[in-house]
Amino acid sequence: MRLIYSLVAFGLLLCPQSLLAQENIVLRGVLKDVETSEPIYQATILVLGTQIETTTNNDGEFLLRLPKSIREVMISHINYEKKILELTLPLPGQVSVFLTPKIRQLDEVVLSTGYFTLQKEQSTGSFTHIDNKLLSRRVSSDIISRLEGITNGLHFDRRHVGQTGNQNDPALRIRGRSSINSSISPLIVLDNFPYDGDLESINPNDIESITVLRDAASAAIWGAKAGNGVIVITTKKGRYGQGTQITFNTNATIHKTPDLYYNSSFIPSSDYINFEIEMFERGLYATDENSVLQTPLSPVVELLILQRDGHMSTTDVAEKINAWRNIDIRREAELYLYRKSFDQRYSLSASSGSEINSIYITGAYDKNSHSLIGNDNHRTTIKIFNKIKPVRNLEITGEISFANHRINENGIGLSSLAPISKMSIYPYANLMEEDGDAAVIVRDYSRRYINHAEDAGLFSWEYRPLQERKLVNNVRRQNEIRAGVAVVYAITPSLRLDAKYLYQKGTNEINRLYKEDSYYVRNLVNRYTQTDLSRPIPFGEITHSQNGNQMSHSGRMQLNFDRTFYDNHVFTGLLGLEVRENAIHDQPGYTLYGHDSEVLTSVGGLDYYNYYETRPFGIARLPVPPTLFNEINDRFLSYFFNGSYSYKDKYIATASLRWEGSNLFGVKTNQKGVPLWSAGGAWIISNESFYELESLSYLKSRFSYGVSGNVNRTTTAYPVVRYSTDPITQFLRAQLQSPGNPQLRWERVAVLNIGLDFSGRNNRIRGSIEYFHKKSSDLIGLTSMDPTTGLRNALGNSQYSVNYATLRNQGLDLELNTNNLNGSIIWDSQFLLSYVNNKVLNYDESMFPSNVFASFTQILNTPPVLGHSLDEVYSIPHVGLDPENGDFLVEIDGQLTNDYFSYFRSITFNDLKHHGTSIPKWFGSLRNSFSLKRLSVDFNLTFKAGYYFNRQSIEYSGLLNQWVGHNDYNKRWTKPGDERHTYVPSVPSNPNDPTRDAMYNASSVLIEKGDHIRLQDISVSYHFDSPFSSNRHSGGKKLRLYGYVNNLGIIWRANKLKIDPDLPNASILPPKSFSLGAQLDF
Amino acid sequence: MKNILFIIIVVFTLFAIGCQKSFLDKKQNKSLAIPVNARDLQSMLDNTSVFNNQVSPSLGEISSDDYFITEESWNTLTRKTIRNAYIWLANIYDGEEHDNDWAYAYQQILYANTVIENANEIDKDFQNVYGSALFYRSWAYFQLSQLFCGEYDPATAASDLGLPLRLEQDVTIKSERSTIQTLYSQIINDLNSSLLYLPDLPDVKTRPSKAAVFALLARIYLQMRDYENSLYHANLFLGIKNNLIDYNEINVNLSFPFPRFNEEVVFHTTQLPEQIFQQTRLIVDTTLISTYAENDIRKEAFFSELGNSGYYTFKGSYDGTRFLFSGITTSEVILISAECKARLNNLEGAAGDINYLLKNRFRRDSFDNSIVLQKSNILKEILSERRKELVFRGIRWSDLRRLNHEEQFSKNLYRRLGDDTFVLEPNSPKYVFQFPIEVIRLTGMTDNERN
Repeated sequence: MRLIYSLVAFGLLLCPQSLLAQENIVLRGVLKDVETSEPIYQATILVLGTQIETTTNNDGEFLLRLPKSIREVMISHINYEKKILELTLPLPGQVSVFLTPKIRQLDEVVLSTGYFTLQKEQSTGSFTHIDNKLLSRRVSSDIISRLEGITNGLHFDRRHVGQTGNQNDPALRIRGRSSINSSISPLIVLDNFPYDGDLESINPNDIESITVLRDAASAAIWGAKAGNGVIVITTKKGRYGQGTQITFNTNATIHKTPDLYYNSSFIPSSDYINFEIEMFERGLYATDENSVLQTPLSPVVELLILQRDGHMSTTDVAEKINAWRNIDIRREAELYLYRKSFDQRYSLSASSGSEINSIYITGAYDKNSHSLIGNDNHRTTIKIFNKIKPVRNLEITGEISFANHRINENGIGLSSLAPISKMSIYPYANLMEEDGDAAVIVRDYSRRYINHAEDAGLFSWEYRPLQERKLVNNVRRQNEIRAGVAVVYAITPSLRLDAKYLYQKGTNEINRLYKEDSYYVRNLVNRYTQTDLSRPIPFGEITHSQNGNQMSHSGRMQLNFDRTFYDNHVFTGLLGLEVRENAIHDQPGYTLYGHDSEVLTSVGGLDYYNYYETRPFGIARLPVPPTLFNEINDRFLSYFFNGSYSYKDKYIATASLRWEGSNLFGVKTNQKGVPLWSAGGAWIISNESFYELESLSYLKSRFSYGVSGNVNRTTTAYPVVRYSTDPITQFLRAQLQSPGNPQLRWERVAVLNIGLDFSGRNNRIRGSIEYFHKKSSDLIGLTSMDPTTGLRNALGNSQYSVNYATLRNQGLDLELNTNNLNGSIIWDSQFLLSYVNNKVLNYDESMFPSNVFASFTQILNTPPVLGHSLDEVYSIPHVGLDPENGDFLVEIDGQLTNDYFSYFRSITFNDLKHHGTSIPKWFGSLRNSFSLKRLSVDFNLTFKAGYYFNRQSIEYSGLLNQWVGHNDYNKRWTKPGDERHTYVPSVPSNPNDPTRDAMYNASSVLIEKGDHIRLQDISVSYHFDSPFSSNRHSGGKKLRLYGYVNNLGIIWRANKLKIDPDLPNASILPPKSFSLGAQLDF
Repeated sequence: MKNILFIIIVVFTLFAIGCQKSFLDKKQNKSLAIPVNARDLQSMLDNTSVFNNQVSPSLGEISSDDYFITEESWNTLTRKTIRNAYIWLANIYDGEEHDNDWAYAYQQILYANTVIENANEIDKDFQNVYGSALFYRSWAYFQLSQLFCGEYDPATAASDLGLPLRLEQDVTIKSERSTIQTLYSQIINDLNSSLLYLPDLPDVKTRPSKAAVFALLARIYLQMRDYENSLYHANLFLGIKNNLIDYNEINVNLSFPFPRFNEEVVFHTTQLPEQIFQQTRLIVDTTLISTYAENDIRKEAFFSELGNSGYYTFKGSYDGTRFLFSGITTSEVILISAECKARLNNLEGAAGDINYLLKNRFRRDSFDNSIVLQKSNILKEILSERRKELVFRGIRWSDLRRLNHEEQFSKNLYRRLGDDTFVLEPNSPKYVFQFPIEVIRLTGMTDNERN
């Protein structure tokens, strides 16, 4: 079959050529691409000085009859460098000639969309490409953080850090926010398929390049998941015919001890003690003191109770309290809870390529300690990638990779010292006694109560954090396996069939062991100890385990077409089908009581059903181990087409079309899928014959428009219930998850992009400027419903999902690369600048929140308002303090008052002060790199502007009840006249009432401008020839030493309070870090 | 070449078509379902967090006279509505969105409507869920009527404003108020229909039964002051079940002496857990405490003294926890029977009922069947026993409302906070609560006058 086809094709191609009969030597040969080893067809072989020429056939073969005297032929092809082939007689039976692909005039950037690769010059869309060199300038254990500050249009949002527990990962935004309630995270693609695993299991050393797809023409091929942009990560793979290369890379990073004094939510011990004494005199601790729940009180209050009741003398109490005035929990924490941390990373990779086989093997080990003593993690990654070309038109690829990640989480941070019922620990807590024993701090119950524990036959109820850290073992283990196979078969040189399959599985296992002396065990056993001292929970170790796994199968079949007609018309296209399933299976795990980790036994037969009397109060069941499985299967099926046509390298048109289906549950069949499309065009003006601007040697304009979407799996057209087990009856029970809305539609994001690429002579200046306009429509939102409908969620709100809003994002992205010096010192600069802002264009008025104060004074997730940004910062106007008592004042109808309830009721949206957005409208970076011979230095300045943040201040209710201080306490109003120079209200008459605190903390006086310039990092590297270099061919061998300093700090900021505006809620900033490393290539 | 292409295209197409049908039908989350079959619907009704556990309205109990709280503990209540309801302010919400009583009940109604719409009552598999849903819906509407509607008055019921009657699953239908007559007819008709499908007694006490339907009908007719119908249904109930717990057998020293689902319970629900009911705040009305005789075991079983203060708090919930029971028990039906008999002049029958109850409440050695059979005081005695027996069961508010119509039983209620005294007069419009503010805002329905 193949033979017949080849002969036919050969004949077809050669027939038009007139062969001269008088030649008496024959040159046979085959042309191949030096990188891919692919045959090159339609190349011209010209015998210099004659009219004799021929063209290669589809197999890259050619045959030429030529006069004996000829010594040179020239081989040329539109995409390859010309090559002169010298002939020496006698001619071999067949010559193999390798051609090098043409280095493009602008840049040879190859962009990967995950479906196909293309030359940047041929694109109509908006791509940002980060090459390996740029990725390697930063030292880190993860890949995503390396994009910060070097990726045009990508913003790292950290407003939430510090607000929601340990969630420290930044939220990524590519060109703004395309949805209100659905996910706004970009899709992350690893090589060919969306990545479902944990990004932590990717070794950054394995990454070759990253392409960020920002507009419809680039991303629409990803369909419904591409509305927020796509980040395509391409790994290293090895090349055919490149020989053997081995790279060893190692580095170490030291992070400074975090600065605990940065946190402004702190009140000095002495001030807090004075405050507590005053509040005690006002009788404000009486309720807690008499509570049957034995609510914990601070040590000072406990002493004051003893003093009041005559159990302790005034002088003894004063002496004890005065000693505490000098304690600072931050100093204690710095000594005993935090440390300098140290990361080590090792990576070895080897690649080798012959003409028919190429292999890439890598192994890496990372060991990172954490700034919290007790936390560290270890990661091992292994990857093998192999390409085989058994026959000319067939390529088979296999890859397998493995990652193992072990994370120990036994550290106790400053914030976890807070008792369960409080948000902070009192500032005079100490962690270590003078004699070196772990000190006791207040935990769940009052001192008066736990003092009697041991007399009552219970275990000690004292909590010692430094001891507890040793008695708990909390380990998380993650494993990930990826295995894939791909086959590419060239049906004809211009038509390839490409089939791929990838399996990926991640497992996650959490194990927690509490030793028997741990507070956790003692507390639980004590709580359930019955009056007759019987113990429903046996005294012994307690261990919890929980595991889940995630698994995905992805398959794709694709036909690629790539052909040039008559030299000038280049068609490329692909047509394909993709099937994916991502399954998450979580198992309930177990809790074992009376465990003995030495011999692995536990006590069974606990009674989880009946109620027991609990101490200090009430009745309860034993904590029931989890019983619920979780099984999620997300399935996707898509058909896609992508095509491009270019004419004479001047005009380019592209189009893509995708139908995307998903196993959305509770929707009608025709709602399971959605068709999405894009179209684009480009004009390379500088290739026109009339173009004569010499100083701007390259100029290209391009535009694209298209529609992608966003999946929201929480909405349904039919009513949907969720099953669980009823805690009271143990029967199956169902909860109405969604009442169903037959009118639901998919969210759609339409993106328009217009860009201009340019480059000056000799590439001294090059760059691009782009304008984009994203319109997201049919956005799904929760509408407030009349509670009479019976709709009610877990938070007690009556809400219903409807398509309710239209949002617009528009902005600019500018990238400018300059080569400022090009002598012995080379100085290059890269300037990135992005502007983005969003605005609500259409909005269902009935959804306007009735509670203006509560809805708009939170900074994250303010409700949409027609004509305003979704990220708008609102506050209540600050009108000053009451000169008589230092109350925070509000203005109602021109009257200044402290009637907060009336204000709360009467305030309207127009009464709010509108500041601007909480997300920078402008951001970017300026990176300068200098190289002098073998030394290169590179530093990056990042900046953000045009945004605001709400800083925290004192909340007296929190100070009283939650032990949360703030250094504004010392600026508070204390006497008439103070209102002229302070805005911090006085201690209120009823500090229990949080209303005034809430008003003050939402006021405009606490809104600060976020603008700043930051020296993000400095990278230094020095190359020299490897000392191990051998004589044979030392060209490929080199040693690179490098250093890197990160988080250098802000060099200018608009706020005067030294707050990091990117982390307005964080109590600890990422500390400065210093890295040193070496890379050896041989 | 053409063959290969052809084969590829065929394989592609077959693969594509073959996949699409079944591939996307896989359920995304195994624990989700579109409720259509009997198991799905039964599971919706078996959701005790919706129908039973800490969901019954509590505004009535909050405003009742069985307890008081100190000024200090009143000051530290976080919800304004609760503070205001306690002192019977005209505008209890004062701008606060507080709709627990309303929304939980209407959530039950939505669930019940979903079940009723999807259950085919002709099909045997669906009969129990259909009947149960009718009961739950009636139960919710009746509870709401005691807070948000005036008393049933046959003369004006056809024009008095009732509740918005939602009888369909569709949440986009606008809510509009019905009349009291329509409301009560709907409730009573639904309950009568449900009798066709329910068992005499339930498998588990969170589910409805014929007994529960009879008890609820007895309760509703009592509230309508239709004593004959009330007695009729009470008797039907007692024909199924009349056993009581002998309090001599229980351990009164426990923190909560009565186990959940005990012998007397026929249908189990508990009230919304309000801060004001916490054992650290709630102090039982001192006059009420004084009416329990020394040999009445209920005094020790229901109440515990707060330190040595002479004040008592409540621990006698039939939930076996601190949450206040609000379901149906045998003792309530016996008390309904006694009251109706007394009102219908069957004094002996009434005394028999009361003695049967008290025999199980008083110390065995000291009880002497000594209820006085005088027409002048028997009703008063029965009502006093009713209050003592059904304390903190979510019933007192309804009793206050209906007894207000009788001069001899109507009374002024008083609250004291520091130097301020608040009064709730009989038949005051404050016996009817306003609709939650967001309900009025979103629907524009006519609100109740409370001034």
